[in-house]
Amino acid sequence: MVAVMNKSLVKYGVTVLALVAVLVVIFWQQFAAQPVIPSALKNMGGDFELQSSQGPLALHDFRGKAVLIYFGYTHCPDVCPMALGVMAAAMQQAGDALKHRVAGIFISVDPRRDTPDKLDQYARFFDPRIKGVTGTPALLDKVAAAWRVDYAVPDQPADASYAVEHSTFIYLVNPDGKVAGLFDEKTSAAVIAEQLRLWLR
Amino acid sequence: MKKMIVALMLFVCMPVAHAAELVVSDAWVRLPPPVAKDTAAYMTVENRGREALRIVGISCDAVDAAGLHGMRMDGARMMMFALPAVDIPAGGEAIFAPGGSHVMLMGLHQPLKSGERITLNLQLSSGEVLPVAAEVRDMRMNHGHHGGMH
Repeated sequence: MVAVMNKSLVKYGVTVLALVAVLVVIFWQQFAAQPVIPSALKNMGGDFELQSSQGPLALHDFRGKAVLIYFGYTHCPDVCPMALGVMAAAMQQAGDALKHRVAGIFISVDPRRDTPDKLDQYARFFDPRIKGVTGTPALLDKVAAAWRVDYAVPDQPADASYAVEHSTFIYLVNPDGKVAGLFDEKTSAAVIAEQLRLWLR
Repeated sequence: MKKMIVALMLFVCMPVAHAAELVVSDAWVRLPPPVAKDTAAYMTVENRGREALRIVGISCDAVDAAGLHGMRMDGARMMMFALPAVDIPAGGEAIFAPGGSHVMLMGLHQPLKSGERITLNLQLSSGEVLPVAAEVRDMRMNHGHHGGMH
């Protein structure tokens, strides 16, 4: 009787030990896998609240997701659609399992011409998970300064044809809302998809 | 095999614009979101002649205004600027490609459709006008037959 009990105790102990070992390995892997934010990016970014067609939209609404952010304007013929195409492709390549954990934000620095409704239609062409937002020039200036975005909108009426100079970064924001990577429209979608996967591991 | 067919198709579709000297290949227009009125066109213009040629402008009936644009970085800012002319030396080529020099198309009269062809008219300093058929391409992943971004 005693021997039998000892045997099952030993069995139980071994099982517990094995489970603990597996958990330790899993936690260790998770810890070791946590990517590091390059120090150059540490003073960049921050929360903002801008206007979407559905009302106010803040970066903190995306906590827990990996977010790709681009500053541009819809009249941009070349680099903006390239960048949004790369963002959409990266989000799609990140895989079906992460489908609901990746998102995009397209921030227009040209609110005179880009209404939230127009931005919504523009952004969803690339991927419905990319939200189009904008704000007042004063607010955009503040956000742009925090995100180290350099841009200039010429002083022309909304119905004029003009180009907006702007920086062309694609930002990767990690699930904690911190800027964790910087790309541009020439980066391959596969490279960005890999970073999305890393931060969501 | 697939690649060969695509290559053959490209060859057949190649709009040979000016048989004598200028050969325009891979002319295409980026399909913009339906809500956008502006987009860009791209092409390679090869000068097979013995003399340098100069493109002095471009026009397109499908838009309010068309122009040749260059791009440069000013610090971190991407700047577009109008190109007054593009010179192509004898035996040389001018490349208009995404992220570089491009044909700016402003004020589309109606939304474009993937696969449709629109005509771009290259204006040469000689006074000649060279019509080029450019195919509208949807560059999104899993859309159109040209695949995604390269």
